[in-house]
Amino acid sequence: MAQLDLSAWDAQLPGLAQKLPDLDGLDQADIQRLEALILQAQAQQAASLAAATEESLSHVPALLRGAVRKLLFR
Amino acid sequence: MSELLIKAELQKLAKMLDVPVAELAFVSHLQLEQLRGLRQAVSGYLYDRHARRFKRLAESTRLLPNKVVAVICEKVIPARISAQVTGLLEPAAAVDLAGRLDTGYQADICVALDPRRAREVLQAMPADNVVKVAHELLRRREFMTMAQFVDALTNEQIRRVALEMNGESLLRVGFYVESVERLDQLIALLEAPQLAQTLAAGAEDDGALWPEILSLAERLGEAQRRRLGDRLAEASPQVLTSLVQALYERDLWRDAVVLFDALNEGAQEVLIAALVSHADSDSGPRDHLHRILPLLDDGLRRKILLALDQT
Repeated sequence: MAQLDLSAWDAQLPGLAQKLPDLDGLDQADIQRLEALILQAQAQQAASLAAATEESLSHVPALLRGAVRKLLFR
Repeated sequence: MSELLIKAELQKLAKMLDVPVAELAFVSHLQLEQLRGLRQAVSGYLYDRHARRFKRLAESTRLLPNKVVAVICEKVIPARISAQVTGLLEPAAAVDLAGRLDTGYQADICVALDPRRAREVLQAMPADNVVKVAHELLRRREFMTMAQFVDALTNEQIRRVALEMNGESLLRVGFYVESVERLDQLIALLEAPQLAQTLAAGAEDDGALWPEILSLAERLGEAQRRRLGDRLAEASPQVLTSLVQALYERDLWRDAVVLFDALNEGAQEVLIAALVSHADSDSGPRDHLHRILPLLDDGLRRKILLALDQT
């Protein structure tokens, strides 16, 4: 089987390709599908945490919200 | 390696990626170790990329009394954020805080937590609290979540939780436990009646959980596998009939070989009688039985052939 090319992953999933096991058995099309699924999961997770953060901040008075966000979530 | 272990691993990968298992058909031919390595790498990657972002939030908990932090958490901080923070807390502070949080909120945190990132905190938790949260997770049927914690908790914590679990939940959790060593320890903690309960659970719901039992048997060390086999020898006729039916109807023969090999002589006789009786109840099933024979050890194979010849 030809060597899998995971170089494209570095742009959107930096560092992950180096942590993966040998995925001998997948072809290049499979690798692209896998990348798409991981990117989708990453986007969902980021959106979920962002929504949770906003939900937390909604309890803070509007005038203080920016400062609290900067202090706790960055 | 059993197809059942691959199935469990695909389900875990699907849960992590939040997609239906069917969407992962294109990786289903990978080896178990490849699938596990893939899931662990992606899980660590997704979890760690937010760790730095919540470090300040974790540090800020030190500025206020835990009594206040607990109120703020439950009213203001969604559990999925607390899950990111849990592993960053000092264990003693986390224990004190957990004691002030509602059990449901703690269960919500567990569902979103990567236990490998919070092992120190989890092991510091009093067993009573662990049991309370486990009850809630069982009520929600969060078996996959609970299995992830088996690797992270202490033996004493696991023993206390296991005492509270029925046969069905032990099987469903055991199906997803990753470390064979920890699974073996978990089964070793069970008293004989509780182990027998797991077999009885296999027979319920039209034998739906026999795959889980056979997957369990496959991953156990010799001593625990023999204990499970001994319980099979004492099982009721209904349990044995259910097992034999499942073997024929679900084609679980290959998965059952390790359990067959672990049976003592008495258990072998009971099982052979059930197998042969079922084989003769219909015209076709003998073929299934003959297919499995080459996989069995010489003694058991001879006994089955003899029993078939006598009928």
